[in-house]
Amino acid sequence: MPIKVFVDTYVKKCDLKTLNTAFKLGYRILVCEEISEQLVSNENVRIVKKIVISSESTEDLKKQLWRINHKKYFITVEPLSIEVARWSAHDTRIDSIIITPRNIELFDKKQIGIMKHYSKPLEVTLPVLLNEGKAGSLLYRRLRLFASRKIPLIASSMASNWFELIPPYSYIALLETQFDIPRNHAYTSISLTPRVVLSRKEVV
Amino acid sequence: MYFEYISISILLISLILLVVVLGLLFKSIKYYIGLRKLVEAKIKPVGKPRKRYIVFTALCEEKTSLKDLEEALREMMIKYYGVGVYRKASPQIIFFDEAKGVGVIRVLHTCTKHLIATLGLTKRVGNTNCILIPLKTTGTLKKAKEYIRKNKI
Repeated sequence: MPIKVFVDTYVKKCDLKTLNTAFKLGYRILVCEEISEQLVSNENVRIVKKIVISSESTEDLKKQLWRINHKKYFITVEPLSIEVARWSAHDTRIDSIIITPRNIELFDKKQIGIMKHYSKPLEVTLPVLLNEGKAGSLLYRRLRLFASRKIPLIASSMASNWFELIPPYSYIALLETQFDIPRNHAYTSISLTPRVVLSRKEVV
Repeated sequence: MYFEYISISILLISLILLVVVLGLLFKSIKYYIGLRKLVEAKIKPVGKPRKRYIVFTALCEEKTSLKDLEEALREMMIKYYGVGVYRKASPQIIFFDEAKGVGVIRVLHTCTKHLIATLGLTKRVGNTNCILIPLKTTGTLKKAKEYIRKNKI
């Protein structure tokens, strides 16, 4: 069983209240898109800045990546075309590829094969998991496929407020009961996999 | 001489037919077993329904009442798992300290994970924003209460 250090890899907005709540829930690292002023990492919870890039062309993605110091930030790409999806799967500067209802159909077997080869993690957020539309059933099939191929999965809350955070064990239970993801795989998606990605950086 | 050849050939044909019939028989038995497995429910019978006690704590903006909490949990469980699972699970809050925000829920042992997920998904109790954190799953109420007492929650 992996170690009990939980990481939330996508928090929209981090403030002191969010940080304290995350500590009570059991999270030790938060990856935030927007960090409120004067908020710094403490002994209990560490903060890492996250950058999400949505792109339709590789040229645009390359331009955006060129400006960012990839050693200091957690870089996630939301591919909006097959070209970007394939390219971001093998770029070492990119830490994860996010799946959303906008790009769900790009994750075909070939994409899975490339992601498996470069062991690029797939990131999924709670609002996407709880999607009640057509994308919900499509996501179930995709996640099952990713789990069967043992591709690393990263699960995050995408919380904008403190009460939108989800307890880690509830998240594991949700992945197990609603998406039939094996317990060990669900467990590593919020603990080991994000920690492995963060260990390559100069932030933790 | 002629009859001997005929009898040998008949014997050979009958042997071949026997082998073919046996093969078909084994194949049909295999299909029958496969079909039976498909038709029969894969879920093992639960047997004696056992209960589990889940210790939880509520982090809320304001104090919450037991009634609001029960209603919120019922709504969320039905929303994400349906009426069938809710009926089977029959979650009951058997102890809730409104001042401390600590409680114990009793649930069917097969639905423990469903309830833990529901606790995490419940974000609103009554008119306040809340997070319900599952802390421990025990087999008896005594152990659940002991956990609360020992950890001073």
